Amino acid sequence: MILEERGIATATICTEEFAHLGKLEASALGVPYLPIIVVPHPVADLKPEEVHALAERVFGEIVYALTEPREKLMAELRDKTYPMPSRVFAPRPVFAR
Amino acid sequence: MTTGKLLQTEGFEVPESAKALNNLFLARGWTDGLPIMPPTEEAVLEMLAYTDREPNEIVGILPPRHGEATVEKIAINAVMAGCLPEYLPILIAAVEAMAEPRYFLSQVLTSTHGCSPLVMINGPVVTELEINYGYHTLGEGIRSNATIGRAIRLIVKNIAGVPGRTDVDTFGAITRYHHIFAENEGENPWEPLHVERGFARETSTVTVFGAEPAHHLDDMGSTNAQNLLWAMANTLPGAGTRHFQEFGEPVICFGPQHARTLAEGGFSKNDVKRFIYEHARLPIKKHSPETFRKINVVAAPKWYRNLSDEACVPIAEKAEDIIILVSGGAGTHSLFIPQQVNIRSITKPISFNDGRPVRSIKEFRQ
Repeated sequence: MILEERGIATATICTEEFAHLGKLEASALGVPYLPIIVVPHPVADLKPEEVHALAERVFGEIVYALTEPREKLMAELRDKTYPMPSRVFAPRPVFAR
Repeated sequence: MTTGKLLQTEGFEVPESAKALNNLFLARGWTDGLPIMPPTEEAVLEMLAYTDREPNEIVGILPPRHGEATVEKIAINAVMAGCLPEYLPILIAAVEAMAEPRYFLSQVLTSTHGCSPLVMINGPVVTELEINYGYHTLGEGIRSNATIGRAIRLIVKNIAGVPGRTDVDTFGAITRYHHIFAENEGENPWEPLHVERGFARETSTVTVFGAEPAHHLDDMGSTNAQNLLWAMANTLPGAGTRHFQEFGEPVICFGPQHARTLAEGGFSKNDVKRFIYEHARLPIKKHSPETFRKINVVAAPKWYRNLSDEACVPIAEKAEDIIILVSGGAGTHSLFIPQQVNIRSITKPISFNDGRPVRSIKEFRQ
């Protein structure tokens, strides 16, 4: 985020369970357009060849985040939302009861 | 009661019935799931009588949302949790501690690792506010412990995070409702933690840890200090314990009986730390080879690269990083309280706005 604020292009890679948190914290710190590349969760137990395959899959997105004009990325990403963590328990609204 | 203080938080009309009001707070995600006390203007102002700070003063910025924990927002959550106004200074000190970057609150709150802020209170305020340090200190049933602990949870939920959205703790834990205790200074044969950390004994302090629920350490048979420590040191190591993967501050909280056995055997607090450091070790061959390579070696290559399988992993990088506490009632029991690794526990004095520590909570009313 510090790099982004200084105008240096970044690409942050987040698993899908943490992308929402990443967007929230980046927004709180004044960088709502932080490019976040979302990969499936989890990554901690991937084998090296699986990590390579995953990198190949998102390579284009990373290059895009690092090379497209900053203003274009800011416009595209400022209001972008990311899915909530899939395993969050979401009960029905209380008022429906 | 009037304090002449003006609140900044926008008020709103709420349903009159307790049931409807609680449904509203629950639906907005502002509670821990249990009923709350309504934070009326009157109740919040009553709370603010126990601080010399302005209501809109920012005590700390709490990540991951980087919410501004103002005195007033802390007071609102304290009312909701059922706190007495006298408890407010403890919450202010706890927020100051949690806001320290070295505490790494965002990691404590958002990791899949089931830790939560654990608050420990030292000094005369423990007796003054009747905070339980004896039997059941980590348990329920006492207003001070129960409501201060709950208020901490509501503060981090409502100010530091977005309820239910930023917290992906794999299991959660009962300690996410309430995680608080006090040191049993009267039965501590060594200096209490706040004195060890450079505060006067008569200064009251709040320490925050980022801790897992405590693990029981049981030894009924040992009457000899070395035997007892040997048993404790051999209970701690485990391949699945984070302290044997990366460095942090493991906490061992001795019950008064165990502490007495150790002190009578001639062990100082530093001796205990040294003994645990030297003997609570996990042979590398008992680790998952993959986890050892991917976590231990990557986190601390200078310690682990190219070691033989017979070498051992210590519980902390240095003996001084091991935290020794004394709390609880009688019984042949102690606790291992693992913390998040890579964080530092922080101690803050309960003080006036100019930094002078208070001798009594009543001083805020004079």
